[in-house]
Amino acid sequence: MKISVNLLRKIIDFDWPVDKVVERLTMSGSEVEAIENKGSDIEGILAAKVIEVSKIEGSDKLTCCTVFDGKEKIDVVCGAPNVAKDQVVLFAPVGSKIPGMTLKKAKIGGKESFGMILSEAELQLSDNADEIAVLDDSIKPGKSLEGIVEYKDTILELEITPNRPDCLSHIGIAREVQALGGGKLRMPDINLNEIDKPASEAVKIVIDDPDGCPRYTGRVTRNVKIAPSPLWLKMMVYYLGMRPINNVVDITNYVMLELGHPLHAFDFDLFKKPQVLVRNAFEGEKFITLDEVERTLNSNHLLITDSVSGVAIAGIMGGEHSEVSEKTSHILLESAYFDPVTIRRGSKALGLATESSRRFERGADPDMAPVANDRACKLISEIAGGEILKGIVDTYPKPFMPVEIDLKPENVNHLLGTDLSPDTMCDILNGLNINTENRNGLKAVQPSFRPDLVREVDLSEEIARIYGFDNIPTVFRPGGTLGAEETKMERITGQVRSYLTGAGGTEIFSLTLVDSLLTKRLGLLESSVTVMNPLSEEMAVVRPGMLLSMLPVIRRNINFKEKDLFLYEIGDIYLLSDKEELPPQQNCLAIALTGNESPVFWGSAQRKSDFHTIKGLLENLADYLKLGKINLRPEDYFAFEKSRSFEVYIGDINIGYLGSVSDGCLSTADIKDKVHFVEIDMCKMVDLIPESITAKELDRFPSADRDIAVVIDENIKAEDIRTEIIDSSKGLATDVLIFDLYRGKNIPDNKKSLAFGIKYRLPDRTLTDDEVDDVHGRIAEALKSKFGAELRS
Amino acid sequence: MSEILAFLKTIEDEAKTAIENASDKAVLDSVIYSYLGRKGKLAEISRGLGKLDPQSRPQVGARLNELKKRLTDLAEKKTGILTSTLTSADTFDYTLPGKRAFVGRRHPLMQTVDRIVNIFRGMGFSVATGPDIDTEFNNFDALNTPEDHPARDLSDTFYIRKGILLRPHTSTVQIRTMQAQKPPVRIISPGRCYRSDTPDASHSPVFYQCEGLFVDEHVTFGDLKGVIIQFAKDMFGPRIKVRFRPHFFPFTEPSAEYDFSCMICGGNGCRVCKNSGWLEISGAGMVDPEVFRAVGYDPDRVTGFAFGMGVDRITMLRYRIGDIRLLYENDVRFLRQF
Repeated sequence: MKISVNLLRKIIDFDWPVDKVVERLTMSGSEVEAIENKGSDIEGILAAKVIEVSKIEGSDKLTCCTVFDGKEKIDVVCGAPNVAKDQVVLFAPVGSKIPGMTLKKAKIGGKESFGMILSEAELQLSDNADEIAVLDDSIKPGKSLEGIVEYKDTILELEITPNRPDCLSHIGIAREVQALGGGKLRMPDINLNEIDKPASEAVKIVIDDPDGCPRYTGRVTRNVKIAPSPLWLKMMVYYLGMRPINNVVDITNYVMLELGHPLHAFDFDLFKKPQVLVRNAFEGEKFITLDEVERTLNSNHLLITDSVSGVAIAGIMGGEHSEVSEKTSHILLESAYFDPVTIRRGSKALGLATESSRRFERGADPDMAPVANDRACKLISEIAGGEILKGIVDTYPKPFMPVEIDLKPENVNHLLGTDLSPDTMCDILNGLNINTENRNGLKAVQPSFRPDLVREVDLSEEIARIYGFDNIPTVFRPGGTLGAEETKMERITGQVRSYLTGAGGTEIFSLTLVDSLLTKRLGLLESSVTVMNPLSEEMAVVRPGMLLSMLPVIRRNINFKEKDLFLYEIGDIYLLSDKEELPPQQNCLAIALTGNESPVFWGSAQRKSDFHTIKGLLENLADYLKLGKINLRPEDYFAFEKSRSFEVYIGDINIGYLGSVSDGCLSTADIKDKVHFVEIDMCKMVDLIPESITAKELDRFPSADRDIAVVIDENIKAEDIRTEIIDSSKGLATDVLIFDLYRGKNIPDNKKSLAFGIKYRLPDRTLTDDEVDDVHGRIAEALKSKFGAELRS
Repeated sequence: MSEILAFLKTIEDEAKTAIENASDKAVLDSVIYSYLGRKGKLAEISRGLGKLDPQSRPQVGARLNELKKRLTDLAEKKTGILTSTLTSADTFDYTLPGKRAFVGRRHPLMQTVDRIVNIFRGMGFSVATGPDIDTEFNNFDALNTPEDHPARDLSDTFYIRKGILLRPHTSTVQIRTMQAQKPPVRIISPGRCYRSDTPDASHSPVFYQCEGLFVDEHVTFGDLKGVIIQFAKDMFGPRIKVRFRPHFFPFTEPSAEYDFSCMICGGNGCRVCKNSGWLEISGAGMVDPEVFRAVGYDPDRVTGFAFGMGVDRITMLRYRIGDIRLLYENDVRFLRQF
């Protein structure tokens, strides 16, 4: 909402400087978002009379004019088509300033020009750039622009919250200023000179839908003269962000901006019958609005008709047919109150929002309808002439019923943490023109311009904001706890993040909305949660797995030559479920590796991350978290290579999957480098982590360390051998480490050599050499018989 | 034979180490003497060759000569170093880079979440979470949002199907918490939120919010101010100023927007704060009685306040990040800075 400080001062006297107005309005809820100083770059402009006009030879447009500025005759070249002898015009002499330039002597079309005859647009008083501004003949040459029109103004751009339709007007803002102590509001003049003929004989008003249109007022004015508005009116309408049209239309807009009530002027001669009928539109009814667009209405739209056909879509836009034009002489001025919901739905269905619909859909003031009508008719009669028929035709089938609100001052203080007296509260509310009495608690009556005030708490807010949020005492409570301790989930999540960061991982935070094409190509679209109304196909799927958002991040980084990546993310995935109302959400840890394991080092070669790198990382994490031993079970997972695709188990519980991303999946994601990936269900993992740790006693007796190397078939898994070593040691082998894997020279084809280092130990004494020999031998036998292992010396 | 060869290897290792470690000429000379001298270890082994079986004698002899040559070369080289003006400190190049692993980083947004959580935990708030996909009831109805409020439109909010949507705020968690427990409640709810905004420098369709809720008997607007001001000071330092401006939200009454004094210019006015000296942070207010009714709390018994904040915005202010998209693109060149 744009507010003119000049216009505001006409409604309320206040001596605050502009910056105080800005500060007070902002801090009471009408935030000033921008301030525009109008006319600050205009200087030395005055009225001048054109006393001679002659064509310049060889030019279609240019004329040489002589103007009289009250003191002397000045020659000036003018390019406007409408310049004519005896006009009083706005003149910028040499040395004066208009926005963007200081006038200098110039040579135009071969003639010397000592200044400029101005258009309104050149002074930014309106958007009319086609012709020069022609002033009223009565203005004397030499009169300064300041004396002609109050062009220096400050325009405040306010952010008005949707609950405050009353503030979409100067009167509403003036009321705020009044409540804030800036002065006393006074209503604009609405005393009319009416002729004797009663309006009620000229027009009837019938309302078919009193819920949609609780009030409709009309006034008839005869013999008006439609013309461009006077400069001050054009300028004000233009300063406030609207386009000047003609005097009558500009007046309706001006009154709307002044009083907040939308109005509509009809060319009454174009009514087929002198009767307004407000009815619902027929389903599919066509109507051409004044922007020359044919609209198709539905039965919820409210239509203003002349009892034969439509003349306006109520509260939204008038019709082309009955629009006020230069030919108009009789005017019916509508000032009605329409139901907010009806207008909101109607405007939405048409995709048509106007200054009028904006106000009605938020809630206009039903009691302002006749006042605004009077005010506009008064201005019409003053500016456009005409005779106002006697009386206003006011059909008001559903009168506004104000809510009476009881206000307990202690409740207000209790909510705000203040100690305000009932009198203070009463004064604040009355300052806002909310009639309030202080007798056994406060009794307030809802004003017709405040649809938002119906409860005690609503008035508490009024008191708080006018008293000033800054003045409410700030309370610092001691911390205290209400179960503010960390949950196990939070604690472990923190540990996982610290561990992985310490291990060199970069935490990412990716978007949970992922590409539907990628999801589809990976075969997951059918089983994914999708967005009904996505912004784009790239963000149409709620990710079913962390890999879906991880792969694009990897691709992006590789494209920027960041090829060595260790990325991790803790986030959510979403599953499709028929059984539950909401798609189940799973908190997951994802880790991805690609490129080299470590940075370049001058002393040794870099190694690429591989399957065992990610496995080791997960094993380390499990170790750090006291999660227990990680077991992998082969399982085909859509994204992984067949031989490198596993489910991750702790005991019998599947907590996720791990593997090397398949070439097919990588090429779908447009990635050329190998990627190794693990996804873990955080909830399942956290459940498996012991709540506490009990420290073990240290071994007091030294272990006996022996190695064993076996040659076995390629298909035998190392872990099976290791398990057998432990099992057949009868508890003596406490640590079994694999320290070598060898294939090649001296090892037959399809065989491999595995070397284990074994620590034998008893808790209560040192093992003898014989005992160690015995168990070591037994293990060798067991490996031989179970796996056909050959010992390697 | 293998034993004698292994013995030679041991001697070689010992001698090499001794030569390498010799700190001056005198020490080196005595090492040379003890291995290569006429009465040195190699001479002694050489003398014992005769005792070996004749077959292996040439092979061991050859190995012994090779060893002698290697040690002599090494000793000469070391003598050169020790007699030159270069000390070992000179020849040791400590300027070569250290052997490093990759440095891990925490995402700046997550670091900010952690910081926010820590600050509020200190004020007695616990962390509550809820699903990203939630019902229209929890998102709007329970929050006193009118049926035809624009926030419910398909143009503003992502729907999964009718009545089920991606939450545009984490207020759903407030509703869920109040439905599940009796007052007092003191929670914050950080989490992802979704709005149908075309991505640009200040909008992302997926973003990160943190809301807070404090409900008890005798909770006042003054408490709300205290909590927000304390947070501002903890987050941005003691000189930060906070102001509260009246605003409108369907779920709070009175409602406020709160601003922090611009931490970039210290409130003097700059490009970031559009010369106002203030940065708009988010909304807050006293919980509307209708919200309490929707969750079965008695508005005559309890009062409470709620507030929100964009964690992305706080992160951007904290690190002077000019474009929200940087937070969600996960370019490691960006992440490496934090």
